[in-house]
Amino acid sequence: MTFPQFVFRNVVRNKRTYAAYFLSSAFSVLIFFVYALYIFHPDIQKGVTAILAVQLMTAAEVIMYLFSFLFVLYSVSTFLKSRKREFGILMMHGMTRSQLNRMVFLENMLIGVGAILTGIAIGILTGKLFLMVGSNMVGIESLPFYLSVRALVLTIGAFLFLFFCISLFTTILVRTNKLIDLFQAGEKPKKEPKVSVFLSLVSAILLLASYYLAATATMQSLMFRMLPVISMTIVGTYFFYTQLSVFIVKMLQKNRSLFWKKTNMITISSLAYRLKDNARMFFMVTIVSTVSFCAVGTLASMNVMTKQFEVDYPAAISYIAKDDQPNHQQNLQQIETELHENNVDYSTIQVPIKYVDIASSTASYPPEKLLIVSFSDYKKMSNQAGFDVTEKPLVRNETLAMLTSHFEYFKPTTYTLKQKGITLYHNKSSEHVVFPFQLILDEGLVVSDELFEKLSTENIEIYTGFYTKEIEKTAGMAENLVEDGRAFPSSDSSYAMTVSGTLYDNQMSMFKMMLFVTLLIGAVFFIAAGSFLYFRLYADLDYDRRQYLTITKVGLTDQELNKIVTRQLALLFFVPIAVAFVHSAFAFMALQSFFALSIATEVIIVLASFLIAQLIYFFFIRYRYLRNLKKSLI
Amino acid sequence: MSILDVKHIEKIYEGKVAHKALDNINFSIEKGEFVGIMGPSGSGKTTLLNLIATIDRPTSGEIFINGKNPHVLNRKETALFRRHELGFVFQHFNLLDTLTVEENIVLPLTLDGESVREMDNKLHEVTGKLGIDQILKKRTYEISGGQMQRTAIARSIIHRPSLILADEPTGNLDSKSSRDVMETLTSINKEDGATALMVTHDAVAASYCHRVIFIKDGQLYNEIYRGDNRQAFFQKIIDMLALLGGDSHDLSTVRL
Repeated sequence: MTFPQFVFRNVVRNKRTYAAYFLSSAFSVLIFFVYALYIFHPDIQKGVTAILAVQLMTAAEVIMYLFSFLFVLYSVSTFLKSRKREFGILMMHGMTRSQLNRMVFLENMLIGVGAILTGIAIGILTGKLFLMVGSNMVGIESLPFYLSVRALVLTIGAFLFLFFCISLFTTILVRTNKLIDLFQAGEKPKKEPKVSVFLSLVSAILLLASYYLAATATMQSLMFRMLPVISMTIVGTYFFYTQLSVFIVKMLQKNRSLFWKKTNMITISSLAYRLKDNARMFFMVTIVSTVSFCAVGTLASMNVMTKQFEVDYPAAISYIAKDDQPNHQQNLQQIETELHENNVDYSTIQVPIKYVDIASSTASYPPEKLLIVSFSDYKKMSNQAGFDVTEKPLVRNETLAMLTSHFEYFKPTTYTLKQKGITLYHNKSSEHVVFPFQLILDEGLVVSDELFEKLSTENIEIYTGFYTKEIEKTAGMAENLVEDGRAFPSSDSSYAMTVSGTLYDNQMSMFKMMLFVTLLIGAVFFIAAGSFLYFRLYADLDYDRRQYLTITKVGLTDQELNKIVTRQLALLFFVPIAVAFVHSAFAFMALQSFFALSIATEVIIVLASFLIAQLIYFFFIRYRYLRNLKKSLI
Repeated sequence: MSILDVKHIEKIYEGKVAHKALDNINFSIEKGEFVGIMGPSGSGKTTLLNLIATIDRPTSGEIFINGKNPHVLNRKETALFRRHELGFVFQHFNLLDTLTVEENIVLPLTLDGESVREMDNKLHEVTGKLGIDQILKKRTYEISGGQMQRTAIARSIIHRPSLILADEPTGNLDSKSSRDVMETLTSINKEDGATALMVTHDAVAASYCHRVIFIKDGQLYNEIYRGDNRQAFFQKIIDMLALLGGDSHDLSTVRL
């Protein structure tokens, strides 16, 4: 047996310990490789959504890579800790420090190379499937399988580099303490966990404050609150596990009627140790799961955004003629013909729009011109789109800011017109969108009919709207007039136009693609969190065995043992997930402020599926763990 | 020529309550000797062994193994010193369960980078002598306790160390396995001239030694030599243990 053989056997025969780590590394490689297959696919680099897809996936690659770095580093350092005794035996037989380093380095490289090969092999086998699903999501023709050398080189190169760096790095991590400490590792009695009341309080305050800020966030405050809330939650979570939770358990221990009852004593007393020992792991799992829940949940709630589409794009086709050239008649004619050809049942409406010049305004970026429609026209258009107008008709100088998207927000503003010093003031916006923001880009006002008459301007434009219930049917219409479903108002164009069907299709495929990308990343994160739990469990197995052996000697029935183990495992598995759920719930509350419609259903579906995945994982691990434990108890 | 020289060794454990585990210990072991160390629980036997094994450092005093003081060497030299000069046998065997029996045995040679052929030669020589050549391909969980300890002994002698250190080698074994293991150690000692130092609780195991040193409360208490008759030596050990007031209950027949 030569030295490399020794290292090889040491890893290969220890496969059970390394399984979770190896598999989740391989999974990261797989996902990284699949994205690379997309990015370097020769057929994908055309089309708007495809370009966006490539950008998104490149971002995903970077995130995945950074995460893999952290993941591998943490996993390796956990392994090293649990192997102190083994290192002790080896050093006893005269293994030098440099040999130990070499062993750790070779082991890591071995697992790394194995993970890379496995990940890529599975990637090649299932690549076609991913390409099919992916292109379907992006809404392009199914891509043929193409193994680009660049994707292969990128994946292998990136991960080899990663494992190489970490292998080098971990050799520094193996601090060879006094040999006698290595030898007695795990046999020494653990010290009673200490807690600081101050830090426990800090943790509670930080968490409560960030929950409060998240729950009360509005669309405007969200941007400013985001960073402080995230950092407060992260710090608060860390102290929650290292301090507050232990503190709570200690309080429980004081309650004798609870603590001294049956198996509670065993469960609760080891809970304090377990929480403190695993605090870092709990913290990591919580944060990683929260990120994963939030990412997938956010994208799933984008679905609501598409439901919201019709409120933001009331007309199937909107057209604004900026002058009275005859080509507008032709264009409108063309639209009508195309609608007829596609058997779309539609109604149409024409409304005048006035542009007035602004002398001064209290807005932070005063516009030069303001778009004006009369209230009765606003009401007409809203009704045509099927909205109920509950607003009272405007009188005299009353105005409403014109809502062009439900994401918009208005501050009360005063405008002074150039015309005879008319001053207009609005303190709220219209209830409905009548013109989507792509159509006008400028600010606008809804004014009372009498005021509308009074406003004199040479700048009058005519809006024509085509309304139908079957928006999707207009996808791809009037392609010669618009680009990607819209024609922006600009000085060199005589018209502005939006085709809602095309816009809807584009938006949908973008969301689907983002969902596809985030789902995969979310899966990687979630699996990584699971593997943190797994090897934590295996690292503690020896200690637990001795612990349970002692307890069974005192007289513990099988059922009682099952109960204790199940409870402890459940805590290990579900405490971080539960905290992550609470975190995400508040994050979604903040997110809700972005949406007019409720995102509760989507969020609940996402969280529930994560919970089910975790439950399955829990029962699987519990079964294996109990079997493993009982082998040595009998 | 003495293989081991222990001179004025003192070991104090610092802490909330400082505790003097060893106090002015002096003795030496000649080449080819088989020496046992006995004493009641907490007398400092294992501490002494750890000091000699270079796992732990003495507070004061010196230890010479084969004329060299391992405690003045640097880390790497200490490791190499252990690899070349010492062989270890433990109560809990300390075999690596990821390796097979033969791989465990050749581990010290592997660390030293010897050629595979050389390793094979030495392996067969050693395992033939210890009677474990039938189980070489087995994993550690497939063999009995006695076999595990003989594997550990094979591992401790394969590199022909100057000194074999054994910490309760029979502590985890039944009486038959204990006898096998002790006879193995004796024959290695007799035939190969290996020098061995063994810490034990077990009077039967101790009776295989040439000489037994007794420690009590960190100080040398007495030593007795075997002579020709093992049975008589055993009785002397028992008497000494009774005098020490320590572990005579290790052998219940004495009380009967």
